[in-house]
Amino acid sequence: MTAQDALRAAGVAAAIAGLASVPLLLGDYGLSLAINIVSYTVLATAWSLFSGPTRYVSLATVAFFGIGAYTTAVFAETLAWPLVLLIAAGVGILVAGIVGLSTLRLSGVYFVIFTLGLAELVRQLVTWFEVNKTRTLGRYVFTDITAAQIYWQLLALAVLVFAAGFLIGRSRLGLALRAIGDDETVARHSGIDATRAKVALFVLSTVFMTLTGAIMAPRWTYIDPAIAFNPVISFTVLIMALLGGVHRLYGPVMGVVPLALLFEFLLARFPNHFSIMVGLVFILIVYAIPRGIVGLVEQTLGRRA
Amino acid sequence: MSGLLEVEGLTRRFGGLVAVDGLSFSIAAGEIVGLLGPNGSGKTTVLNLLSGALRPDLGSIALHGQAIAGKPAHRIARLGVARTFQIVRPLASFTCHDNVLTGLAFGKRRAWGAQARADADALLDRVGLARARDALPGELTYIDQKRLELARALALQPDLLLLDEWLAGLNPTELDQGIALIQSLRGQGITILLVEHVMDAIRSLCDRCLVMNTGRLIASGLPGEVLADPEVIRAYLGDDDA
Repeated sequence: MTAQDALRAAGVAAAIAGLASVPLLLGDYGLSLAINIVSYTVLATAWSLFSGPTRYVSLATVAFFGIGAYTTAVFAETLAWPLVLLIAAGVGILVAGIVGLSTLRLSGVYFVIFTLGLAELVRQLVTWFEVNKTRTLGRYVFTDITAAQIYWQLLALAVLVFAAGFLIGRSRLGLALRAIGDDETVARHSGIDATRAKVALFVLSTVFMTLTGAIMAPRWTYIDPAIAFNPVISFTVLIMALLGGVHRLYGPVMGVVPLALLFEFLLARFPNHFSIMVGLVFILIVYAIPRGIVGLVEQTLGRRA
Repeated sequence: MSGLLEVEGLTRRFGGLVAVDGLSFSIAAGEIVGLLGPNGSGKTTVLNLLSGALRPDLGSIALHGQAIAGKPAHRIARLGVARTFQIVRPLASFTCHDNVLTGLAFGKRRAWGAQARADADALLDRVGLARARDALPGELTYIDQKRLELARALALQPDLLLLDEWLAGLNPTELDQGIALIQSLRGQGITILLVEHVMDAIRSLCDRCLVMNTGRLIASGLPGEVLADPEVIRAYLGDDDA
């Protein structure tokens, strides 16, 4: 390890420690905003882990987020918390594996539509099951997990997703995914097993989404399919990642922070026009900064993105 | 003749069109073989079948005696078949160095780390692109993009290299350089099947030529012989000139 690496590691450790002390410094409102930001940071970074290099735009984020939330709602009262998270991760991997193997042969707009449909399908299945089997549409989530504990769990998950992204970026798998994003035919002819690489990363990316849902569920105390599988979450994650920039690991978080604050402001000021405003923001971002904030900064500095 | 590649009864249809119709040929290790024929005769389809881009409807392909017909492209690439594309397809967001590194990382040797990076530089140097190491493909001239694609194909350490009109569109000086570059691969254990229209290149490079028309093999032999074959002339120019 060189001196520079040691310095960098120390910087990262200091940043994590600083972020971990946030619940001790902020009040309830500040903490809830921080939870919001960290959870979207995990979701957006996990999203761009897969969708950034491969350019497969997924709108299935909320399918996995909701699966995680429902796992918590079903098991939180009867099982130990780590076991609940383990089950959530397991269900997420299973669903992601099946979906990945059956859909990653699709490309372009077909994949986008499929993932949107998948989220809706999962929501309808859960609704059907709840109505016909458990005979109740909503569930209460009673746990003794505090807001600060939720924040710390999300922060740990964020550290993991960045570590995973960092390692993949330097690995053969990272190279394979970027090659697939550029030209899948060329990638296959260069010896890359494109299907396996895509499924592996899709599964990894969605596990983080599932865990985020599982950790976030106790925030609500009451969930139903419309809350847990709200498609707005998928769109929000997408636009946050695009605003920040998906070409760099630290890109999405640059989009999460300003947008989370902006949405908070819009929701407080214009509660009735919130959706219209968010739609306008989406359009503006796609037109004005297609390569995201990171791309814009790098362009200004004259660096190659 | 020890056959590196043995093709038997290869057939591929697109709807009602039989693009490749019962094609059989073999290539010995170390040969440079030209695949000729008028436009639409099925040459590129043959390369696509050999490289795994397309699956044959019928027929067998054996490399080193191992059946590869219908296998996915990445498996065939790892078994030792590399190709270039008729219209160059560099990985546009990768530097030249990373383009070549991709071939090294997933080819036969699965090289990675410092050794792979050094090998990528050596390959760029070999095709004359050392100066463009950190350039993006979009910044290169057409011939340099073709060199880059060749370097990426060579990075797979292929036994069989498929070149799809690699020499097309070059000016006379570049053509001479290109021919010399391919010539230099001879004797390094690489067998080459090249689809080509440039007659100078065919005459100076090929040990043997296969000529296709409407999906069938119509002639096979030394370049001088097949180019004088009346049926070949008829396929290219029509009855009056035969």
